[in-house]
Amino acid sequence: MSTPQQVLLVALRTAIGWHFLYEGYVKLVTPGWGPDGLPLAAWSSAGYLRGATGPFAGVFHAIASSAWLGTIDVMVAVSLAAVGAGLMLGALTQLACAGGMVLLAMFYLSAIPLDGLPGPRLEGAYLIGNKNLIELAALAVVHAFRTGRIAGLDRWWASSRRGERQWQSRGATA
Amino acid sequence: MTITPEKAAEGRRNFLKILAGTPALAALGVTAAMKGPVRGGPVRVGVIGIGGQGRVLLSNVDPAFADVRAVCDINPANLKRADEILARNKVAPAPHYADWREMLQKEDIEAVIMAPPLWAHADLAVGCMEAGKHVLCEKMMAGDLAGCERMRDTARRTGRVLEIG
Repeated sequence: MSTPQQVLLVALRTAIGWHFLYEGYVKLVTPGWGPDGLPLAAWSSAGYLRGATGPFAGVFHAIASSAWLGTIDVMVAVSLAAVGAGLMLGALTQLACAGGMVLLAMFYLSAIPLDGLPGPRLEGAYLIGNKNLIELAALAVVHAFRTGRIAGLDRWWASSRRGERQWQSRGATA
Repeated sequence: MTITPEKAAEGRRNFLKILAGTPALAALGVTAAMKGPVRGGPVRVGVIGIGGQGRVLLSNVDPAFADVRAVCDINPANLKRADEILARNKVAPAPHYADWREMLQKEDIEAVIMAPPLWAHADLAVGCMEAGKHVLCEKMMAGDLAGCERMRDTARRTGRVLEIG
């Protein structure tokens, strides 16, 4: 792989990572205060889940009215932040990619755009494909190319394991 | 062990690749801290004047953003009503005070929500700001222009937030 290809793949991973990390961060710090001093209400997935559409809507509606909604909210926020940090730092990259893809798949399945019309909360019109699906595909690319080996803490872990193996093999032959 | 210049360069390159995401994380993290929301916790407030309008203000305090640490009124019946409102809002009961100065001295509060009679607005608001507290004062601002100007000047001088509404 050429250097520009490697750089672009890692840049893509970093950009997706930041998106995840900031989404998680905002969910974790609310209820809180905006930089203008205005209060920001606590985040909850309840509204999103209650508004779920498509073939899996029933499942998401049931989750919205379940007793563990609060726990799910915390889990989603922590997962987003953890996936984001992993992608940005290239730490446990494959696991972070897989986790991110699972989250995006759930977000996509909870609101598959099937009407193809512009909505009041949308800045465009979507039919089947939307931003969640595109980010999911991009994350699949990042996963397939094992970008942790190109740059990030995984590279360090891989090289230290390699060095350890070489040390052990030298010891065995001595 | 001999480290050749080629090996040293390779080591440096490897090191930079390992830490590739760190500068981006640091830069974007600082941006988020400056531009994004902050936790900060609820504002610790005391409420002065639990009459009709004071009770409306107390009822509308959102526990996510304001923690009522004390209530102050010269009428014990009003303080009892304040207890009922806090219980209805499912928040902890707050200590009672008849003297607002004593409340400011004893309680660790950042801001005061006040709805006393109009003639007392200026004196109380100025006193609270002088004590370093931010003030949300029920409208109207004060009984006369001199009182309004005194409140405005105190807010400017002390750097406290004075909100009327």
